[in-house]
Amino acid sequence: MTGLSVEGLHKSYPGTPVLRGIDLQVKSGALTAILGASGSGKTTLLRVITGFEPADRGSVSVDDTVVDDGRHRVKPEQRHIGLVPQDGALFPHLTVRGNVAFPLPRRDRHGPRPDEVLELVGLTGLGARYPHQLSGGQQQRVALARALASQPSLILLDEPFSSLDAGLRATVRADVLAVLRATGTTTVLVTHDQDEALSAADHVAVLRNGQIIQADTPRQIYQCPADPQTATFVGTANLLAGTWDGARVTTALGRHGIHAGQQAPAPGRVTVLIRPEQIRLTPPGSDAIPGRVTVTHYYGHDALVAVRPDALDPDGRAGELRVRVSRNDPPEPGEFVSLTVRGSVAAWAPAGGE
Amino acid sequence: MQAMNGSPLATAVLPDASAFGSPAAGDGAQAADPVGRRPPWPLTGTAALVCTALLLPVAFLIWQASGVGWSLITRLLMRRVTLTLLTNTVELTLAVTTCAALIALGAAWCIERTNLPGRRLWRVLMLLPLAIPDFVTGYTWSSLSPAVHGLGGAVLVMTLGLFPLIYLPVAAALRRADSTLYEVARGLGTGRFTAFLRVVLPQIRPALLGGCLLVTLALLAEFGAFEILRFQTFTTEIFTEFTLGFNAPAASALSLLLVLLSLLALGAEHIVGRRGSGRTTAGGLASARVLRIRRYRLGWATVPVIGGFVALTGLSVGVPVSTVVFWRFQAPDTTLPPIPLAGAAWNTVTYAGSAAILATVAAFPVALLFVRHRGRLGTLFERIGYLSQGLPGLVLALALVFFAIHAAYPLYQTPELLVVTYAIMFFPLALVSLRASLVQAPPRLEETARSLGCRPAAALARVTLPLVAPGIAASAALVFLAAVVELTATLVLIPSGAHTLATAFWAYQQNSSYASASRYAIVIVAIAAVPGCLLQRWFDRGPGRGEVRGQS
Repeated sequence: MTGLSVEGLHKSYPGTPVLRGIDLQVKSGALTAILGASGSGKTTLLRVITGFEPADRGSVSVDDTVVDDGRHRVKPEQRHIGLVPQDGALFPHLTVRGNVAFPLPRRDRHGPRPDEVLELVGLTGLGARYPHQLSGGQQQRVALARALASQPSLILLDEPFSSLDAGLRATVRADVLAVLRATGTTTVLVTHDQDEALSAADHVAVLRNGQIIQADTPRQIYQCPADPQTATFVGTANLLAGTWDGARVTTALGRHGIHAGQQAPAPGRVTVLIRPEQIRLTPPGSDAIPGRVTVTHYYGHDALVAVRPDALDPDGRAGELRVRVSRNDPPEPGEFVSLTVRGSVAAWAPAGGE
Repeated sequence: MQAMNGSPLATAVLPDASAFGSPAAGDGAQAADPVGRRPPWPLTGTAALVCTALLLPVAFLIWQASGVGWSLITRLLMRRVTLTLLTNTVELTLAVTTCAALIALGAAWCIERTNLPGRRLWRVLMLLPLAIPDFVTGYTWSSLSPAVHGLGGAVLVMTLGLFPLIYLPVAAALRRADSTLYEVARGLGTGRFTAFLRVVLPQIRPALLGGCLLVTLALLAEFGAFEILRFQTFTTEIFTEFTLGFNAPAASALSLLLVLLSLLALGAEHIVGRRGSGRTTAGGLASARVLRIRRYRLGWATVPVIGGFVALTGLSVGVPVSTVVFWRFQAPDTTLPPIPLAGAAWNTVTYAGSAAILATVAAFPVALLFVRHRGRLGTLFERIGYLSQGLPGLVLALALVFFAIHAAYPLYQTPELLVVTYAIMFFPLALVSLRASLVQAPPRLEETARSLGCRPAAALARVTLPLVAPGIAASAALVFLAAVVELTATLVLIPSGAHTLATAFWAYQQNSSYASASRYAIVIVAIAAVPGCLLQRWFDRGPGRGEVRGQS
C-alpha cells in the first residue's frame, strides 16, 4: 500500500509556476523526508497535500484514495492528514489537554484518549498547562500528540524542529520520531536541514525548483547525488574535473572506481564528487599526492582541513580540497601532507547531468 | 553556481542552502499565508457595502455645499470670524497637545520604566479621565470659579481630559520597547538623557505622534466644554449658526473648513509618523519574545513623583468627581420641568448599546478583509474605515440631518438615525480593536484546525472566535463608552421630546442649574466607568501573553 502518492503535480500562483511535475511515492509506515531549500516549493507542496491549495494538474492520493486530481478535491478536514506545523501552532486559548482533545469527536474529548496520547509523547501531567507555559520542545510534542490523537493515515511534519535551539533539536527530534516509528504512522518530514533528513528518514526526496530531483535512501543521496548541485546541498563536497574512460575515472588525485548504484556517464570529461571523509592525509614522503595544509577548522569530534595539492588538474589550475580528519591532532596550517582517496566516487557528464 | 562545471581543480563548498536559493530558516507558514489570495466574494461584498455607507456623510456634505454654491461658501469663509476661529483653534491645539504630551510622557515613563510604588493603581487612575466627558469636566471647573474660561480655561480643562489619549499608546509602546537598546546606547558612551532622546524616544515616537493626533482630532470635534467655557471654536460657531439662525450655508461652509483641518491633521501624522516607524525594531508583537525591561530606581525622587501623580489625579479626576458629588447634595435649583433620570439612562444605554453592536458587526468584515487578505482593496477599505476620524461629530450629524430632511424624511429625528450616526462616528474605534485581535488569530490556526478534521464553520467557532472574543468585547466597550459621553451629535439628532443623560445634563447646565445637572453627570460617569474598566484590563495585557510562542 502507498501511504502518499503524488503524480505529475503542477501548481502555479499567478505568473509563477511553483510545482512543476512532482512525482513522489511514500511507502505506508515509512518515514520520508522532503528536503529542499527556501523557495524550492516545499510549503506549496505541503499545502496542496493538506488541501489548502488546489492542484492545477496531476493527482494526490492518501492511502490509495485520490484526494485531489486537479478537478475534484476532498476537503482538508476529510483527508485524515495530521499536520504538525512549523512552530506547533497550538491553540493559545486551550490547555494542553484541550489542544490534544481538539480533533476528537465531542463524546471522546473527556475520555481517556487525550491522556493516552500525552503519555505517548512523554508529557503526562502537563495537561492542565497552557501553551505559553511550555518550552519550545514541549510545544512541539503537544502538536504531535494533537495530530496523532485521531489516528490519521498520514502525519506531515512541516519543519517542526527548525525553531528549536540547536542543543534541544536533536533530542526533541529523536523523541518525536521514536513515537512515530512506535505507532507505525506513515510520516512525511519536510525540512531544509540536510543532516536532519539524512539521519532521520528512511527515504529522502530532494526538491528543487518545483521538481523532485532525486528520491532514494539517505546513503544513495549522499554518495550518489543526482547532480553536482544536489551533492553540495546535502553535504560538504569536493568537485573535481576528471576523465572517464568507461572503467575508471582519473582526477588529479588518481584513478577511482565509480559507485555501483550510479548510472555511468558517457566516456570523456566528467565532474567528480569526492566527499571529505574519503580523503586520507598521511605524512609526506609516501607515493601519494603531495599537498600543503592551508586552514584547519577544529570541531572537537573531528576537524575539517583545507589542503592545496601540488598536482595540477587536467585544466591546469590548482584548487583547495576539504578533508575531514578524525584524529585528535589534525595537521597545522603550513604542514606538508600526502593525500589518498578511499572508495568509489560519483561522476557526471559536465553538462550538469540531469 | 559557476563553480559547478569543473573550472577550478576542486571546488569545496560547505553544505550551503544558497546554492538552491536564498537561505532562510522559515519559508513556512508565513510565505504561504493567504495574504494576497483572492478573498471570498461575500466578504468583499459586505465590506464594500459598509464602506459605501461610511462614505455617504461625506457625499452629503459635498452635496449640501454644492447646493449652497461655491462662490457663496468662499464669501462666507472670508469673514473676519473665520480668522478668529482659526487663531483660536491653532493656539488651543498647540497648547493642549504640548501640555498633554509632556504629562503623558512623564506619567508613562514613571509607570512603565521606574520602580514607582502603586503602579497598578496609577495605571487605572491615568485612564479614568476618559470616563468623564469633557463637558462635565468643563462644567465642574467653571462652577468652581468663573475665572476658568476662555483660552486658559479651555487649555486647562482639555489637557486634563485628553492626556490619557497620549498616555495610552505611549505606555503601550514603552512596554514593548526593549531595554536592551537603551543599555546598548549607554554602553556606547551616551549619557542617560541623551540615550533617552536618541534611542527610547524614536522607539515610542509613532505612538506619541498617534496620541497627539487623537488629541488634535478630539479638540477639533469638541463642543460642549467650549460652549460652557465661552471659548469660540468652529464647532460652537457652527452650532450657533445652525440652531439660532438656521443659517445652513454658513454652517456648511464652516463644516467644510473644519473637515479640511481634520484631514490635514490626519495627513500630517501619516507623513511624519511613517518616517520614524522603521526604527522600532524591538517593538512589534510578532518579535516580542522575552522582553527585558529594566526599571529605573527613583530613590529620593519617589516622594515628589508620587506627589505629582496625586496632583494630576486630583485635578483630572478628583476635582470633577468631588464637584459633581458636591452639587448632587445641593437643593434642586431649577425652574425647568423635571426629566426622569431612569428614562434618560435607559435611552443612553439602549442607543449606545445598539451603536456598539452595529459598529462592531459592521467593522468585522472590513477588519477581516484587511488582516487576512491585505491587497489593494482591503487596504483601501481599511483607510475608508478610519475616515470618520476626520469628521467631527457635529459635522457628521448635520450632514445626516441634511440627508434626512432632503431624502429620507421619515428617518428625521428617529433613534435609528442617531444610532447609525454613533456607529459611523465611532467606527474607527471598532475597527482598530478588531484588527488588533484578528492578528492574534492567524489563519494558520484555523487551517490547523481544519487539517485536524474541523469543518470551516466549526474551525471559526472553536478557534478564531474564542481568540477574537476579547477584541470584540473591547470594540463594543469602546464604542459604547464613546456613545455614552457623546453630546454634540446627540443634541442635533435626538428625537424631539426624548432625552439621553447627556442632553438632560445639557439642558439643566445651560440653565445654570448645576445641582440638577449633577444627577445626570454622576450616572454618565458611573455607566462609562464600566466599559472603561473592562478596557483597562484589555490594554493591560502584556505583549506576548496569549501568543503561542510567548517564551521558549
